[in-house]
Amino acid sequence: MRFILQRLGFYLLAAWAALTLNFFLPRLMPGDPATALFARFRGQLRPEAMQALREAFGLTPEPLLGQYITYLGHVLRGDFGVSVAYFPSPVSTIIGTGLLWTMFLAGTAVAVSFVLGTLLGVAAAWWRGGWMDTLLPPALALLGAFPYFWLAMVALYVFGFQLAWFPLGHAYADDLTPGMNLPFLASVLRHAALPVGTVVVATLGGWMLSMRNTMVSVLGSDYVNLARAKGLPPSRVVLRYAARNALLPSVTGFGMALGFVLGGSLLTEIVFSYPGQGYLLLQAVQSQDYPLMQGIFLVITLAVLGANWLVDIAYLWLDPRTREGS
Amino acid sequence: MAEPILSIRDLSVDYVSADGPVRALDHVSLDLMPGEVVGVAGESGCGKSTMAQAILRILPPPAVISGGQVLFEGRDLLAMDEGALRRMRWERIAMVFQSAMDALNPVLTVGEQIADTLRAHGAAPSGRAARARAAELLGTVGIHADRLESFPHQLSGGMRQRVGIAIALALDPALVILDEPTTALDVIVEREILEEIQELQRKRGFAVMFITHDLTRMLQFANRVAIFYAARLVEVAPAGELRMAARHPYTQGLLRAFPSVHGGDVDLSSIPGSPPSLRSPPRGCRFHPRCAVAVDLCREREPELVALGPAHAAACHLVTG
Ligand SMILES: Nc1ncnc2c1ncn2[C@@H]1O[C@H](COP(=O)(O)OP(=O)(O)OP(=O)(O)O)[C@@H](O)[C@H]1O
Ligand SMILES: [Mg+2]
Repeated sequence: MRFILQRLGFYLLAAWAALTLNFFLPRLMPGDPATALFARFRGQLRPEAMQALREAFGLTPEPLLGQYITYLGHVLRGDFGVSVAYFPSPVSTIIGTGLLWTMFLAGTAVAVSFVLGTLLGVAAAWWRGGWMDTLLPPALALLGAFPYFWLAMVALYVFGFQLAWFPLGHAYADDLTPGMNLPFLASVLRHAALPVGTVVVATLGGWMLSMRNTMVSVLGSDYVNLARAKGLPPSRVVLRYAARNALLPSVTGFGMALGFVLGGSLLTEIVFSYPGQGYLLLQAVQSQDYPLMQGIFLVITLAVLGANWLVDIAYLWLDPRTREGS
Repeated sequence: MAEPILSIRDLSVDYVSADGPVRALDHVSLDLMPGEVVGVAGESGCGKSTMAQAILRILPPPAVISGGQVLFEGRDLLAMDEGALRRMRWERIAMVFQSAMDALNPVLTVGEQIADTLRAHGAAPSGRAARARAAELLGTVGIHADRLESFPHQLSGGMRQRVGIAIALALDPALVILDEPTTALDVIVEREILEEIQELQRKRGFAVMFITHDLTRMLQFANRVAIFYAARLVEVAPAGELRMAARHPYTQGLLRAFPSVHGGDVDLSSIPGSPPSLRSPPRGCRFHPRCAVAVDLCREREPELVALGPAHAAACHLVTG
């Protein structure tokens, strides 16, 4: 318990640091979003609107500390300010659904890749020197070495365009109403198959190799040897003694990978025209929409921190040695 | 005379690596009678653990058993199929591992690691029966039953090794291999544990293969002693006979290194140098570079193990029956 709270404290601190950075960065840059927006509308806005804009962005004549406190208050309420490109929609509503799609896509991709890669690693180590151990790792490493963009395009062309097994884009078919109904969920899965599949193919080799290598060393450990000597069934030796221990280092990497895929979802979403926030981010950058960019970065950061905290809890549950003092 | 319970015949083990095999056990033959305590001694790296693990066929790669037989109650363990072997493991032969630190699974409780052994062999009809038996086993090695819920890292080294012994005794085996069961422990705990093992052995009468490089302890405990040097068996004799009349110069050196049976500092200076690399052992007798009495023949030809008495044999050109 103490450990969980300790970690929570750490992540809160990290989140606070991210928030603070997010507050100061735009204020250190030349110009301000209000002026930028004003310029974009090329005099179509009346000068009074300028002041309203500045206030909407939190750029009040207040002292910096006051601005900072107001900003924190807003963020805690989920208010990330107003978008420039989609003025005057608040950033939070614009991010809203996109974020959910991105988290769904990245989360599924990382989870599938992790589970599949780990299982393959276990199998490769157990049948060491077999075909799974000799052929699969180089094949996957080769796939992982292709530029992801290219891999995704090829997959889209072959499976989406040529074979038409999967839709070419979007998160679900237009004629369906989102909700907890079977056709909609099936459509979501079909639309996610290619983007998730390509990310899995590109990242599978890493999980497999790291699990395989830890497994090999754990299989040579005394406690696995003792398990075999005790005459336990092979399935128990592999799963409860070897894999269960070999899993621990991989779990640590899981949180990091999640952040990586969340942040890198941009490419996937562009290739597969997926309505996630990566797409939004691209637009935000193109239109210099600072509030939107900041909002997205902040949300990604918080999602990654949250995911890492969950991974810490999972680790605690998996490794009794970290439970000390609980 | 009774049949041996374990008969190791001409057993050889290689560790295969990219630059060729390393022979860690070279044509070793050794018998154990039912209920007998046989000590196995020799310097670090001479192949003791390799032999222990070869008997149970649990040597992890890159080790390969390259020849010989391990007859247990007349059946060759090395030729047995996995299913039959799995029943031999632990129901008939159990083992206490060298390192108390690493032999227990860090993510399972002590209770689970005893119970899964019982259940795998149908020795406990239910989870509750397994728990009760596990508690009883912990009791025999002096650990309170509330330790069943403990994870290995919550136990001291001595307790962990006791758990290892409890696990070994779980299925009432006929042979227990003790691979340096006390190396990681301090002297007092070491003595306690060895006395407990001796006590249990007297009560239950299982045969013991007791591996150590501490000759003093071994001569107290073992009926018979086998001395290994650089992957080979160089001398075997009843404990008393070995102490009074060791014939191999290496054994004699080892005995001088442990001056009194009641302790004292270990001093290997009576055997200068260190054991040879098993990758390229010296020609002739493997001990000749360190042997004070070696003659030309020792540099030329490898000595065979020759019988010097009913239960005494040594591999040295300078001894003759
Ligand atoms: N995984 C391995 N790869 C290559 N060689 C190995 C391996 N394990 C052991 N060996 C070799 O086998 C020899 C015998 O090792 P073993 O562990 O059986 O020695 P030991 O007599 O038990 O030593 P100790 O008293 O230190 O436990 C060693 O000299 C070592 O060089
Ligand atoms: Mg050893």
